[in-house]
Parts: sequence; C-alpha cells; structure tokens
Amino acid sequence: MEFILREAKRLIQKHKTRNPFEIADCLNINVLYRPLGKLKGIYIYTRRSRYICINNELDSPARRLVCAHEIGHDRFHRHLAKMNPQAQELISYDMSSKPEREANVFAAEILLPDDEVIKLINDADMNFFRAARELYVPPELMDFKFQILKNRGYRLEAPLNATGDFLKK
Amino acid sequence: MQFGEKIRLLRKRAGISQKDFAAQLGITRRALVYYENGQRFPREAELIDKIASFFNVSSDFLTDDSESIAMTKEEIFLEEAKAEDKLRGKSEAKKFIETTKCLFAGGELSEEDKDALFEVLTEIYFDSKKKAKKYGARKNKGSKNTPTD
Repeated sequence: MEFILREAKRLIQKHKTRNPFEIADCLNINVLYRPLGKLKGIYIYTRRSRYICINNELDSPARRLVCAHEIGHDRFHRHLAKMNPQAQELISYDMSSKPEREANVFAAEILLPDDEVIKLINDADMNFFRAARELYVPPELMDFKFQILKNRGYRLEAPLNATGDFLKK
Repeated sequence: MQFGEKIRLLRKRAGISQKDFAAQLGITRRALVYYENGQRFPREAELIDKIASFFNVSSDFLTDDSESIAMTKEEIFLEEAKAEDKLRGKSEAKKFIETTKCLFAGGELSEEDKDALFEVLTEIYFDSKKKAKKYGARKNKGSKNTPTD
C-alpha cells in the first residue's frame, strides 16, 4: 500500500490540488459524464488515450469520489484496462478485488487530508459518521483513511470494516 | 432499405460468406456482389424467391424498399466504423465489439446498462481514433527516420 500513498502525495504536491477533476486534467485524462445505468464510473484505456466516464446521474460528492477512484485505476491498473479481447478486467465486477481496494485507498488519500480528519476526530462532539458527512465522503472511504492513519501510527477506533464494495450500493 | 442491403444484412446475420451463399443459390459470387451493392437486380423472380425462402422472409419484403430491417447497435457501429476508416475500420471495430462482449460476459449488467455502456464505448472508440490521428502513430525504434551519419 505504501506505493499508493507515495503516488497520491506526489500528485497532490505536483499539481498543488486535491481536486480529482483538476488532477485528471493535469494527467491528460478525458473526463466524460454519460448515462451508465447502475454503473458509477468506468476507466478506459484505448489507443493511448485514457478516459474516465462518470455516471451523469450522480451528485457532486459522488462524482468527486468516482473520479478520484478512477484516477487510481489510471495510475496503477492501466494495463488492465486496455481495450483488447484478452484483457477482461476493464470493469471489475468484483468490488472487493485488489485493484478496487487499491483505487479506494488512493481515493481516500487524495480526498481526505490527514490534518482535517484528525481535527474532526478530536472534536468532542464528532463521531465517525458525522466526520465522514462533514467531508462529503461515504463512511467506508473514511474507514480506508482510518486504516491509512493507523499504519502511520495514529491510534484510532474505526466502527466498521470496509470491504470495498461500497461503490456498488 | 434496398434489396441488396437487406440480403447482405441477412447473410451476415446467418454468418455465411458470399462464396458459400452464391454456391447455395447456384449463381456466381460476382453476381451476388452486384446484387448486394445494388448495381444489379436479379432478373428471374425464381432467384428472389430462392433467396427469400432461404432467409424465411417473403420476396415482397425483400423487393419492397419501404420495408426495412431494424439494425442492431452493433451492426450500426460496424457500418459507421467502416465508413470512417476504410482501411482498418472493419477489423478494429470487430475487435472492439469482441472486447465489449467480454465485458458484458460478467453477467451482472442489465440490458439497459449494456446499452448505455455500449453507447459510451462507441463514443470513446471514435474519439480516441480522432485523437490518435491527430498525434500520429508511436515512433517505433529503428523506423524510417534513422539518423544518417
């Protein structure tokens, strides 16, 4: 997981933003909003062009999350998203699979700055779920962030264990 | 939809080659090509009846231009891709459809989702093609532009 956090940090410093849409723009990824039925978003790599397509029925916070998640795919799983008949992992249905987990960790690191999360958690009348709401992310993403913070030596109690399939709901 | 277009579409759906189909009808392949291109029209009604019964349709349906066959999204896409890139469009589009089929094999997608997804993927297909054209092909090592001493 270390390499994911490194990459997230590098992008944030390089482009001086945590806004996934701006990052996607800097990375020359084409972002489209289209109807996708019950799919939230897809990442496609074809002919050396990269595309993130986000379901246009989602609200802003969800779009932000999906965009960050798909950038994660672009960084670490580009080879899986090639448009050829051999690569079938373009859309992984198995949301608990490794690529999905990695993309979620990446999204958590991009969207949730350490200091803000710590500040919210230390607030006396703040609980886990309210903190997540405050930062416009689903509690599951917060949970990923908690795991990252734990690895960094913070002592936190997380009330749920994210399996990674929350993007499906 | 013209007679030729209809028989070509039906033939493709049946998955037979022009050669085999012509042999079945007892005509030359060249004649069939002419019919499909709309450059000629079968002289004998007998042949039209033969074709019609082969595909289980009426000969009136084949000869009446106001009668059309509803094309599937895939067929329309193939046509477009062919028109857009005469040289490689067909093979590339086929590969593309192959890929999308793989995606849909997951079985978790409803028909509507598949439709929506196919729509987006075709859009991306043409868009990426445009972009690739704009930036040109990747330079291969040891290609034409080797420096001369």
